[in-house]
Amino acid sequence: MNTQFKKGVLELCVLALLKQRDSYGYELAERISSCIQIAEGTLYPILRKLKTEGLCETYLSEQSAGPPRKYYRLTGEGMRAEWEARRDWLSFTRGVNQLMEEKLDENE
Amino acid sequence: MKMNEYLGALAKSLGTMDGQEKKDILQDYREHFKIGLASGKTEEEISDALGDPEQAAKLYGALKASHQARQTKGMGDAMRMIGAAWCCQAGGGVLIGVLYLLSVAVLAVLIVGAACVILGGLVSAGLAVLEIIKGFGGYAVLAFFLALTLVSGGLLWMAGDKAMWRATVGRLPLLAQRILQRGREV
Repeated sequence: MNTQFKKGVLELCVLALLKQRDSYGYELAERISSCIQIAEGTLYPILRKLKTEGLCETYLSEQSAGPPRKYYRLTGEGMRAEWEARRDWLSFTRGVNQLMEEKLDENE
Repeated sequence: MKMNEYLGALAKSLGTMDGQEKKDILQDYREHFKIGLASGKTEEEISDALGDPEQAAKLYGALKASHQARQTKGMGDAMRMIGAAWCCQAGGGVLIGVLYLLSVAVLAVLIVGAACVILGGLVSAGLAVLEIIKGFGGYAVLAFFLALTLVSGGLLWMAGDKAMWRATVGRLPLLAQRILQRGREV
């Protein structure tokens, strides 16, 4: 798949997951990988970008066992970005689906 | 790929990045490996899922560049917008100010004129009353008609001034407000 496109989709996935709850990189990677095929290593550049743009912020959470985890939390601006990305994605996929169904109708 | 191999390859691909940023990035991946190892995965499994370290490093560079480009562009746009808005507001403001003062000056003269005519009418009315008291003569009739004409003419004039005032001086602040708003919208 086109990398540029995939990057956008990955960003949308991260925003959507962070909207549900704060999460750390490894968990985000696991959850996204369970649904779509990605190179998990590309997740961290996107998380860093979201932070640079002020869409999310990070905090460290000490664990009783294992290393502390860097949690990501959406900011207010991040919430708005998630809403916009969700809306754009839904209208985009609706349009693509419609086009594909039109093609099927013609072939019938 | 072992963890240290992966981190080494990533560090190498990140190239000449600011030391602290590079350290932070590597720390994110180290944490990822550690959590994976704690959940029972092998280093190879984790690095396979992470994919090509060079691809990740490139993405850092690309996202940073696009962010910087957008910021610079955004700043340029903002400056242009402020400039345009300022010109629009300042130009519009000065023009409206001049029109306002001009209208006020012209109307003031006209209003004073109307007031003088009305005053003249009242004086004539007074004279007419005096003439009537002195004895109903030709002057009384003349003064009476003069007073009537001047007062009614003056009142009409004043009404005209009022309408003109409303059309110019009354409207200008609203127009100014609209121009200022337009400036903000730009």
